[in-house]
Amino acid sequence: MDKEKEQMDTGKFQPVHLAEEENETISRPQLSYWKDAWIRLRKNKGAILGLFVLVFLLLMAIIGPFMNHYSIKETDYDSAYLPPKVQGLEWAGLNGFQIFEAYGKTEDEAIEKGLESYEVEEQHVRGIEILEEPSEENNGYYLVALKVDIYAAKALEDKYFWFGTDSMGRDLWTRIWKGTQISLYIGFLAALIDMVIGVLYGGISGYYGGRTDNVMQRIIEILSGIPNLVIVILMILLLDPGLLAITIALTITGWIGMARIVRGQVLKLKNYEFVLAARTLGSSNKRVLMKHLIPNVTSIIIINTMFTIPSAIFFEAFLSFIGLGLQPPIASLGTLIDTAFDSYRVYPYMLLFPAIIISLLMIGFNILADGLRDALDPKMRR
Amino acid sequence: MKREKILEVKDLKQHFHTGNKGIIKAVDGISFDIYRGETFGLVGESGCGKSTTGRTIIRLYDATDGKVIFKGTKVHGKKSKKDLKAFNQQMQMIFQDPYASLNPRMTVNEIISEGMDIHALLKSKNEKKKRVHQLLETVGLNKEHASRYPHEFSGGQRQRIGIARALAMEPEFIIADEPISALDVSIQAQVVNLMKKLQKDHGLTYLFIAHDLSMVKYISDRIAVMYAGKIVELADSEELYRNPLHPYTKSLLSAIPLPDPAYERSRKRITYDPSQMDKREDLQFREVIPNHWLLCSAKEMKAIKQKI
Repeated sequence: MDKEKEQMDTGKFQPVHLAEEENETISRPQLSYWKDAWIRLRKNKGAILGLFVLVFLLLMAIIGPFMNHYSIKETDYDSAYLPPKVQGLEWAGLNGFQIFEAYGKTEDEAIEKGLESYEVEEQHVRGIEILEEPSEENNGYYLVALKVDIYAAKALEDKYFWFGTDSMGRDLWTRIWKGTQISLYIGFLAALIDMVIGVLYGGISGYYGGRTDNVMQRIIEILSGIPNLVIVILMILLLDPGLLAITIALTITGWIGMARIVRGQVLKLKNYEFVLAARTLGSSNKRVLMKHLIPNVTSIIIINTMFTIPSAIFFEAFLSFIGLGLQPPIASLGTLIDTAFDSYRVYPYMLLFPAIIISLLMIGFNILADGLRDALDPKMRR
Repeated sequence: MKREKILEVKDLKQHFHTGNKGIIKAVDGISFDIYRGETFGLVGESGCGKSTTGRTIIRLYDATDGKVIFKGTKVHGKKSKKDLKAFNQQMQMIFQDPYASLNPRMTVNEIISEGMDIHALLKSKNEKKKRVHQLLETVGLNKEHASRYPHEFSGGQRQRIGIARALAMEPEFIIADEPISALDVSIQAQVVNLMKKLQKDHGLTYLFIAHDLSMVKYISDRIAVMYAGKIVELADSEELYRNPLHPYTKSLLSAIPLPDPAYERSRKRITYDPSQMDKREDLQFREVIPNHWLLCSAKEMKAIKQKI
């Protein structure tokens, strides 16, 4: 029995021999840093969804204004306050009907009053609904809703304003996508300027250290001590209100966060041995900074920039909303929301579309930035 | 035959300022010479100033005081760009931590050829590529590795990439700052043997910094023992092992375990008590036996001489 076993063993086993060369081979497929990050980003469904939403909005912002023949400035008071109407989508509510409400002692009187006060002819009314029967609460009045085909009432049956029109009869579709374009432009430009100034400032401050760092950090502290809004208002007073003024106002303090992050990273990295090695090889300071330090901070720079873009867009919208933003006829999402806000109970569509788009932008950027943070984190590398 | 001195260190001091007007004397007046073609071992415990010495010699730090003379010219002080480049090319360094010493964003090819780029050693791309492949083979890696990133390599492989990076400059003098302390034992031998082979092939001179005495003995011709910023003893490696004079050296040697049960049973650790040693006056670095230097007082020197 034992003998049999021994014989079996020797036959079954073979010595494994690793040749010297095989020892050094790497079987893992070759992946660059960005490919690796992309694979990890792809696994994050939310981030990909955010990416798609952003790409869609970006494309629409570019091609949207060219999809119909209205321009952003073209005013036509005959076609003011038209609700959205889209060919083929009438069944979904985008039929150009506006609902007017009116009170009356009887049903007929209410309808009559409604037609009179809104200057609508009876033939354009497409439906009547009684919202309230007489009761003690409304002093025995009827409340009726008149569904009116405004396009027909204004004799504009052949026209289609996809997102409706504003108080001056300008096409909102064109204005909204143009506004998205301008909002995105401000966001990207502000983020880009923030990035360039912040990375250089932080990099230099962290790398040279000592007195240079001390002085540069004190400047940052002074700047960040001044309330942002004060600087913005001063800048807008100083420069003519417009794209440039807003962008400058946004970036004048916006780079501070980036500078601080980059400085912290550079402070950490500059004592790493690969930086010392580069210096013993004779690298100049500029080379060390540009080739060794900043490439190792790129992931953090990208993530921070991705969070800067939506906050810049939002801040611009906020400025426009409080009346410090762009001046008409240029529109941004902020100014569109601002004008729509005045009459949003009667014409809710004017507020609805820009609000949806700015929300999608915010959510898209934030989800994508969140996903990027996970994807670019070297600790997540497998 | 008189040997050529490649590096002279004279009364080198390196002090660091800490916050509240405190001063750390990392290196406090050390002197030694390194001859061409030898391996000079520098040992001592953590924080005694070994690495600082190495980094000061290669100009990563400005010396507080003292002189470093490399091939007849002073290392520190202002230098023209040309002189600086020549210096950077002749003296190179191998680092301790193989995980931190390679830029994670660069391929092996870029890492190794960086020195060539800075000094414009090879012009054409093809030549550079060839040289990188050749260097990779010299350190026992193959040319497929050139396009890989550092994180794909093991510690030993990374250390060899670091060696290839230093070799790319064709230096005469290499400072090895604890090149093996982060590696496991089998890889340590591999790296040390590679360094020995390269020394023979390229006629290199090493300053080998380590805290592992047995490994230092294996590679070094002469050894200096450092303690608290000062060199306490310097001798040929055989001599130092046979006849340690300074109590700190004795303590260090007594700590080396040997795979010999009989010896291990009788081995006694000698503990070093610095408080006794600090009280001595008139401390100087003296040559007590030819080629055997010791930090001691005149009285002690006499006593040692009498013993012999």
